[in-house]
Amino acid sequence: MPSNISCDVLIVGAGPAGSMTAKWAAKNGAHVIMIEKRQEIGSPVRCGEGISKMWLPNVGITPSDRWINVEVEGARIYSPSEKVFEINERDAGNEVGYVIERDAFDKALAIDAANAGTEIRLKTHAVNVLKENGKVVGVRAKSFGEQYDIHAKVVIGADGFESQVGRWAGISTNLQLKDMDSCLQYRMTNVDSDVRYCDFYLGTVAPGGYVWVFPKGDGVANVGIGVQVSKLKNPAEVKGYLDRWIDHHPGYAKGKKIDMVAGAVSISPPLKQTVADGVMLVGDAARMIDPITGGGISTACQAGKIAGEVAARAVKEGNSSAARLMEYDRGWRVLFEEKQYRNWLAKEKLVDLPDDVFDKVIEVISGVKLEKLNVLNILKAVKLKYPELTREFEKFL
Amino acid sequence: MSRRNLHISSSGEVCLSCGACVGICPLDAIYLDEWRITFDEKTCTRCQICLKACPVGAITIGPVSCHHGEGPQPFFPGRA
Repeated sequence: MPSNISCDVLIVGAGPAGSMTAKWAAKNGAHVIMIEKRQEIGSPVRCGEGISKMWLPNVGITPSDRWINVEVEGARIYSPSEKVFEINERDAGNEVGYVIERDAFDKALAIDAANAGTEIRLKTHAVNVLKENGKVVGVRAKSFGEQYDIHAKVVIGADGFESQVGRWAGISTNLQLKDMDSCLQYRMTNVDSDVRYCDFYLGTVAPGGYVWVFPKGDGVANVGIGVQVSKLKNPAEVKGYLDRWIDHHPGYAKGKKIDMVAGAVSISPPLKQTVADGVMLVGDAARMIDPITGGGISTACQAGKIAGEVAARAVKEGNSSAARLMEYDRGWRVLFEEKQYRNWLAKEKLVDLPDDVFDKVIEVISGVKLEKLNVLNILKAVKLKYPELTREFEKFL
Repeated sequence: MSRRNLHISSSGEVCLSCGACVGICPLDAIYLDEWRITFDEKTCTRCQICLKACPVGAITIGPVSCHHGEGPQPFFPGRA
């Protein structure tokens, strides 16, 4: 029977959010344990694997050939009738940049965390949080059939979309059906993807979401779909939508599937609360996903760095109350709360746009040279040609 | 038949252990420990949100009599 143990900072989940938090907490002097329920960090991959790159240096990640497949030049947005709008990497809101090998990326971040002094326990999952007088003081863990307690001054919930740490700690992370996408992706070989672009297909091919094609080089690409959960009526509809899309695109229908991954992402407004006494939530567990792109690696890593630094300081001061940990909550909000909220508002409009409107918008913006790609400039351009479409956005103009 | 009498389960042949249902369940009635999905039948209200949201349609619901035994039905997808 393993005996109970203790540490300064306990991290549940060894994805990018967990490893980044672990690294920065350990670097700042904390004794850190990170537990991971799977036997292998980074696997199975549950990700489209497209990331932007401007933020990487800010969190201490050096781009490496070990996890970069392809550096893309831009993105192509396809309307339902497949009119194309091309955006270069700089204008794409830094949402595109690299297509990565997510399992290698996650392992690289875990190695960074380990090198900074983090102890990693694989095949160990949290069963519940331990509480004393309402404060989280650790986690009950289970590993190889044995159950034991890990006491910690700060617990980090980096346990992904299906986060339970938040629920156990009493932080509301529940999502509305319209604020979630159900996703499926095939890795395909022998397809006609273009290594210069990440492609996005909008409209009823993927209700409330989009189909993506992210090239991985040598005729290999991730071909995936996200569909808004509130728009799903029957079992396996997501797979049906993706299979149909592939069938209708000869350049992909001829390809062969070599991998299949599924998952869900939040497309929600920022959480109201991400800390409680003794605990902080980071990454997907804290619903830190861009509601337009569905991307969450950059926010997870940026928030993780702050969480790690704040956790280490709180440990040194002997104070891990919610009030002390609010430094983390304020920190990530400064970085991306406003953008997440703004993009959630935009998503609320986009998910119900009819196909013909998508076609008109894409037609207009692909035909004009926008000085800078942002919502305001897009609305202005659309207004010139289709004033009836922008009527309800009048106050923005 | 009341919804409560329906048995909810997930097919190991179809499930990819992605955890989508775990996060989507509004009542925290689904668990994933490494590869295994388990339904807490006492908490589950058979709202069937997970059934629609599962990307590959691995979750099914039907009368209890269709299944052997009662209580949570664990399954083990190929990889373990």
